[in-house]
Amino acid sequence: MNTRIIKNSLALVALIVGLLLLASCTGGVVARGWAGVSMIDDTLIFATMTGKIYSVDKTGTVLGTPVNLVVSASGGLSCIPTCSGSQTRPVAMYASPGVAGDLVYFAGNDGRVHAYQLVDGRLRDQTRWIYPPEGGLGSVIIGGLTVANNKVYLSSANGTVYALTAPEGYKEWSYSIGGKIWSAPAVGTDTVYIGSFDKKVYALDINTGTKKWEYETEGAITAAPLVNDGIVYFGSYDRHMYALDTSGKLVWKFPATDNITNSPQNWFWVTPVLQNGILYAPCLDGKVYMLDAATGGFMDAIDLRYNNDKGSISSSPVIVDNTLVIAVSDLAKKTSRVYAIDTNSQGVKELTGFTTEAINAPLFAADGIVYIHTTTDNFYGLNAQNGALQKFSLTTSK
Amino acid sequence: MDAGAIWDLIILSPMINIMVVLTRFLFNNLGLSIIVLTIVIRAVMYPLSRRQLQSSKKMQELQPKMAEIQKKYAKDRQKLAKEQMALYKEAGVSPTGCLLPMIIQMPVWIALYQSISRVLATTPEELLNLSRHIYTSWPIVFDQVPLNSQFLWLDLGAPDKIILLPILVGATMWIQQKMTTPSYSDPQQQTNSQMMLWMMPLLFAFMSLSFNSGLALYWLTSNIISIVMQYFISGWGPLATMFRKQPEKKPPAKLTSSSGQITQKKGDLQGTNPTAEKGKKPWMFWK
Repeated sequence: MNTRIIKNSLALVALIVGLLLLASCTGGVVARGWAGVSMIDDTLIFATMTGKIYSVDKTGTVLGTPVNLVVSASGGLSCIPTCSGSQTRPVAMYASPGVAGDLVYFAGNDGRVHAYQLVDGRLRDQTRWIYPPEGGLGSVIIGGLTVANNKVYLSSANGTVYALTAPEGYKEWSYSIGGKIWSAPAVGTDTVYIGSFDKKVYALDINTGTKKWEYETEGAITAAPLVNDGIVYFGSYDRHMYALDTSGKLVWKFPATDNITNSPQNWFWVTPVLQNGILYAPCLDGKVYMLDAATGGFMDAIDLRYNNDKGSISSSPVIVDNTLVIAVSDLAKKTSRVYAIDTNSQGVKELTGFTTEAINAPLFAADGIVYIHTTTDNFYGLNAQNGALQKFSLTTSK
Repeated sequence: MDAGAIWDLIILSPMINIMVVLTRFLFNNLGLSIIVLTIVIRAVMYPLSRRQLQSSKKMQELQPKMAEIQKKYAKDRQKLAKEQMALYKEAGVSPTGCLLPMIIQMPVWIALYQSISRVLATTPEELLNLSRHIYTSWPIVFDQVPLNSQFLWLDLGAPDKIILLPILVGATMWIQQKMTTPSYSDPQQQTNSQMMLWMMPLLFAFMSLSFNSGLALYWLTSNIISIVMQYFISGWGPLATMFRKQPEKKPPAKLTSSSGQITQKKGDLQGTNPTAEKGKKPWMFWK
């Protein structure tokens, strides 16, 4: 065939593919995850966006060889940024690894739960167990997992909640809600609570998984509820923070509204935290709403936006002693700042800022240090008092 | 404010919010919303599309004359260009007449394409990104997201598992292409256009296999609208010849010259394949 024809045709096809990729890639996002940090016996566990899991000591030394979590790539044009030329892609994880005894648990978008044993601070390269042993749950796991009472509780995105035995990974029960689930389960005394895309919060019996009650809001619920003293706190995409009692009755609900214009604001994307009877409810509008945990009464709204009112709180905060450490990100420009709020005086202090990294992963605190995983896949240790920052290089020793 | 932010503010965010509101009023059905929004935008763009199609049609009508000129001034490029321009002027056609409307429409198509990708929000990253585009002053928008992605047998956030949608995308694109693909007297052009007639539908069918069904539904709707518009502007075009009863072919006695080459006259058969004139094996894609 004439080479000119081939050249012309290939050029045209390349142009079309290029335009489509340009259209889909400009701002189009590939699932990379934002796993938080966990700790087991003074060993930090970091799960990266490239599917690697490191065990690291507090000085930043990588212990042993990282575990590599990958899943078969389905291929196709839409995944070119991550999987072109390879048969596998990294497992994207959106929650902190779970820990119990000497086991560390991971769940991600391969639709499976992986349990690894930690021996002398090093992760064994062989899994202790995988659930399900063959195939997957039929859907990705976004909400992550919660380990309590020697059980691993998790939800798959296709709307099923599971309880597995922590040491062996045997299924104790499962319950299908029907609605899509991106929320991690919250575990109370005898109940598992979980939010769903179908705008409801479900309460399931901790031993059998049978439904006790459900409560419907006007928006989807993707953040894990907080359970404290018989009250279940959770935020919804209807821009309200809710408090229910353990029988599913509404105690109070609070709307995230602008106190000047009284216009509704953004979603409650992450789990609130509670300290000294005050509920700190971070919102995607860049504010932390301080509410009376008992009555839902509005106390204050701390506006953490910066750079011409930009900033969203898309990362779960942590409490370190009497300090609430919270990250705010400009999601468009991929910048972020980390603030410390004194829970006694409500004084706000900026601890650090990142000019090229946003923070979506939940923060994790241990021994006065807050561990941060940023969107550029860097891990940092931040002193919650003085803001001293340590970057972990994650290079394996020879 | 950078270009990306301006694009988001002026084009992308409004389209995303309109799509979410439409979904609310169309029985919480995102599939219907994609179809209706595509129709509405095509209707708004109709004057430009019509101009583009008419210009394209005129250019096709000029092809025989253009071929003659090309043949006549094959060795004098300057003269060729001058004669071509004269021909365009005489026919009242601008060579960029079909290009300009297409360029004007392009940002809208890209925005529509991006809006569909964004509202589907199949990953937490995408949903978080979507929250930046939602208007806080439109109360019904916030409660609506994340949208229900079920439509007929499809999960609009995932590729069609039974491959029906990619087949429909490919088939409708082929029909649309066939309606606008003229017969060229230049064998190279003819082969090229026939190749594109098949390559484009195959490419889009393949992409529909790997992209989410929401985008494939948009392509399908867009193809069907294009077919309807094309029909009302210039009829079925070359597609009609496929369904006409072909006249019985005469014995090929007159087709062979003394040199043994095939010398079939132009226009003996409709849709003549010019490659046959030079005795080359014809391109078989359209058979």
